[in-house]
Amino acid sequence: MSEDRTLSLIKPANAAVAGLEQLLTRPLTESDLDRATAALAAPLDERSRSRISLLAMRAGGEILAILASEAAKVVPAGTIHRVPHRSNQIFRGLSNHDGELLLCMSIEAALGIPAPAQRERSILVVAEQGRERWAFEVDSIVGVTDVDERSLRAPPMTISAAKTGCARALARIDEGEAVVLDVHSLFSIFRGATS
Amino acid sequence: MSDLGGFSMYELFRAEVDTHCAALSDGLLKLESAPDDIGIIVPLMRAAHSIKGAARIVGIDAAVAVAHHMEDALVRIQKGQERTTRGRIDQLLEGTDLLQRISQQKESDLPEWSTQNASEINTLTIALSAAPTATPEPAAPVAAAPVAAAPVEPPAPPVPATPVAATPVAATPVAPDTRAVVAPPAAPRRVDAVVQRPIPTIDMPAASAATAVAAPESRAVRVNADNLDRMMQLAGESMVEGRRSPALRRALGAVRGELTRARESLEAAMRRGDPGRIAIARDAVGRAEASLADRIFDLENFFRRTEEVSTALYHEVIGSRMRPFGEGVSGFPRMVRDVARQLGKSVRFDIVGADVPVDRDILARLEAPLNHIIRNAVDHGIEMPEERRAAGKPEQARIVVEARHHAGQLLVRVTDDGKGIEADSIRRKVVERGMQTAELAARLSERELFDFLFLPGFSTAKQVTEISGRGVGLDVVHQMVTSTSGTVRIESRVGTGTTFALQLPVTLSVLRAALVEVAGEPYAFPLARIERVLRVGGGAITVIQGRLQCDVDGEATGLLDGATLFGLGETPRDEATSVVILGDDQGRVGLVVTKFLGEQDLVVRTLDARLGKIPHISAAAILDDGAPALIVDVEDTLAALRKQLVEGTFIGMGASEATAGPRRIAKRILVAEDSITVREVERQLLTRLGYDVAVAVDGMDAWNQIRAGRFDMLVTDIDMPRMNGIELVRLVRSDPRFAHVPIAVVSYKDRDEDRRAGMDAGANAYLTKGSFQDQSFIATVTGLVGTP
Repeated sequence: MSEDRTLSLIKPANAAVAGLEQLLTRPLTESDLDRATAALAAPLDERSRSRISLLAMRAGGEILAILASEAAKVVPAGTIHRVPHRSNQIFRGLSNHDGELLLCMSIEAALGIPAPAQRERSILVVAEQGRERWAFEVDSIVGVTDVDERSLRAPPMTISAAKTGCARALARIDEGEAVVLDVHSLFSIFRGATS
Repeated sequence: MSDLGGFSMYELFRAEVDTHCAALSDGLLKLESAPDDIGIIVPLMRAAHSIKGAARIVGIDAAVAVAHHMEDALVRIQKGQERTTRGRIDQLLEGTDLLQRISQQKESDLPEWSTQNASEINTLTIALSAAPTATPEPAAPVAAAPVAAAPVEPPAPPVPATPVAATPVAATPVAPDTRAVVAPPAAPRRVDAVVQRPIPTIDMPAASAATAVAAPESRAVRVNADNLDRMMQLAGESMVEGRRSPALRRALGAVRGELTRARESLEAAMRRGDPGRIAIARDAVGRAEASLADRIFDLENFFRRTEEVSTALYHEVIGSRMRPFGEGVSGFPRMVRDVARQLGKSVRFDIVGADVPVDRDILARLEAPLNHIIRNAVDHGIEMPEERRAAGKPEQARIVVEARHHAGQLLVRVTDDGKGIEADSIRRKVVERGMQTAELAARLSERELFDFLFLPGFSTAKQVTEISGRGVGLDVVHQMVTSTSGTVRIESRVGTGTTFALQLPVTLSVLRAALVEVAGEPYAFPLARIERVLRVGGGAITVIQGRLQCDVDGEATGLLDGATLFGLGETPRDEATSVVILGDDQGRVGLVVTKFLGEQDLVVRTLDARLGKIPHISAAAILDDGAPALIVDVEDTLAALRKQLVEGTFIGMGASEATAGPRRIAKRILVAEDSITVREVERQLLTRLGYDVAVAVDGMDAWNQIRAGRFDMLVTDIDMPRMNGIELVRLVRSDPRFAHVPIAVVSYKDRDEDRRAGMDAGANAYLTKGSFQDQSFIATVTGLVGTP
């Protein structure tokens, strides 16, 4: 009886770890576990006050992030089918995930940052705002990180004033400086690339 | 209002009324033909009673009252207290219509609607309660004998405040099985309508069709109960199968451990050189291999089972969209009966192929076109009995609606044995109305002439009638059929009759397609839309005058490179192994592709609306390996090929250098026109003046071209498939990039309201096609865009 009970408690934890490893496309590190444990152990009011969750990812040699609440799902990128007379540098094509044909974009082309000629293994991040969804490829997922909103810094003018400037803020995370993207502006670029 | 499994009670009521009204309508017509067949009455009593019960649950007193009095009248007939008379049948059918109308009201509108229609409800319930009038029944199968005095109930109030007493058929369950569907009507069905004295006009004209079209899609969708049961079973089975996978994974892990241990034992034994231990270790390896073979067997079974279940589930889900054809035409026997009676004609109406499965969307869209065609047939096609007698025909005319599947398409034919259509009378009318010159009209084929009948206002009827003579019906038919990528054709012989042949997709959801590879990616061609796929050897494709061609059945067929068409580069000549042959009545062309991948049934996925209309692509699908494929819009592709042929910009594979596009030296005008004759007339007129003319075969083609190129002017027809001229003009005007482009509409439509519609949409000029005869077309063009 006690063994069954132990198993039933462990199973979800294993499933969660497997899910996280799939999301990050790498095994969980001690640092990941420490950070998650610390976040979970923090008092509730401290956790919720002025803190935001970011989904951080690597693309074009940079760390990019969006609000975790704006990330609908993260999935392994499948085959992307170009769309005649529509596909371009930004709009790459259609990809199937769970029967949904996602419009796949190149985040690097949208932001004007260098894109790899060929990704070894790419991941699709599906961002969502309201009922609008777009998917874009990234090299890897850094993780989901809680940061204090007050610690966010304004992006330099050279980024915010650029026509492809979708930077909302800069956030310092363990892995380095992450550019927090303004999904609304990003979507505008995506829309322009498909019409 | 409470919800039940996602459906509101009102939705359930509406579904139940639909079901029972269909049964009532059908049964009453049978009863009229066989008034002594009392067995027909019991199901009708049950239907009325069920509606009454359902109406009471949702608190619709008007429906309770009508259903109650209908039921009472039926009970009196069943008990022999009253004879079946035509007048009573009419009242009962009126009651059926009234119940249907009640159920079609919005729930929130019902109180007001009931008040507004209280008088009609009251009149009908009083009439149903009263003894039937002994009206003469000239051709009725029963004598118009005086009706036995039946006990008459006092007239019921229009909206009874108290529940009506239960009747002897109370055993019928009131609560509907929401999954249940009316059994498909038996085919062929038949109704005899006989010559009758004039009766007041029955109000079921085009409005009913319009209502059907405009009705918002309900949340409630009927699914066959067996079909739903099977889907639930398969979904459960799928979950059960899914739960087996962890056990299989564990078993495989155990085998891996067993193998590892056996290998380690063997290695250790071999290091020691101990034959006894080696033999034991080998046995262990053998056992591990046997275990592995068992697990692989289990795994294969698991995969096979999973595939079977998912395939069966897929087919059930797709099948749930299909409804029997008869369900969509169940109201027509009644309509024919009523219209024929009103006109004093005798018509036998048969439905053939009532069981043919049709996609529910197609079925819904078919209702209005068929309604118009059948009404027209009864009103204009069928002669009066005396005329038929004089022509040596049976007095009773025949209309047959036939549905069948053919080559992946749904064919619906409506045939009457009436007087037929005179092609020459259409020709005369075309000239009289200045729509064409006599010379050009004389060249028009019979088929082209019949196409004029689909123009609004082009009615050949000498008199406008209450039934169908306003000439608006066939326009609706044309629009609705083309909106589903279908076609409609008229065949007619004077004195023999007329056939309307509609060709539609069987379903909008599943497509049998030929898969090919273009520029390294899969594309699907609907099988019904292509002639064939040819595998070609290296020497089969040749270049003549810089253009690619190959022989198909001894005929030199022009080719275009698929990759070039899709804007994806060019297919290297040595990699091209297949050609997709496309064709229609205007000719045949081939599209060169890298290779043929095979045939597959594809579930059609609508493309994301954010992409707009993609040139040459109609939809998407997901292949067996999970990769997306794009479905080619064959009509659009053919139009693009023809356009390039006409413009001389046709560029073949590896032949681009030899066929550079024309240098733009003049103002560029786009002509959008679906008639090849008129398109050529316009193109030649404008080309002779020195304009650079591009042509589009419909509004969609024109819109694609406008976005892809630069034009100084647009000349467009109104009636075109896929996108009409009004929609095109609106689109052009709404886009800032093209808002300045002058637009001239050239149409056969010459009514003031048509002109207004064109100008309101944003056209700069509205001309009729008669303008080709004088200088007004040329003057308008030069006035708007200037000299070439």
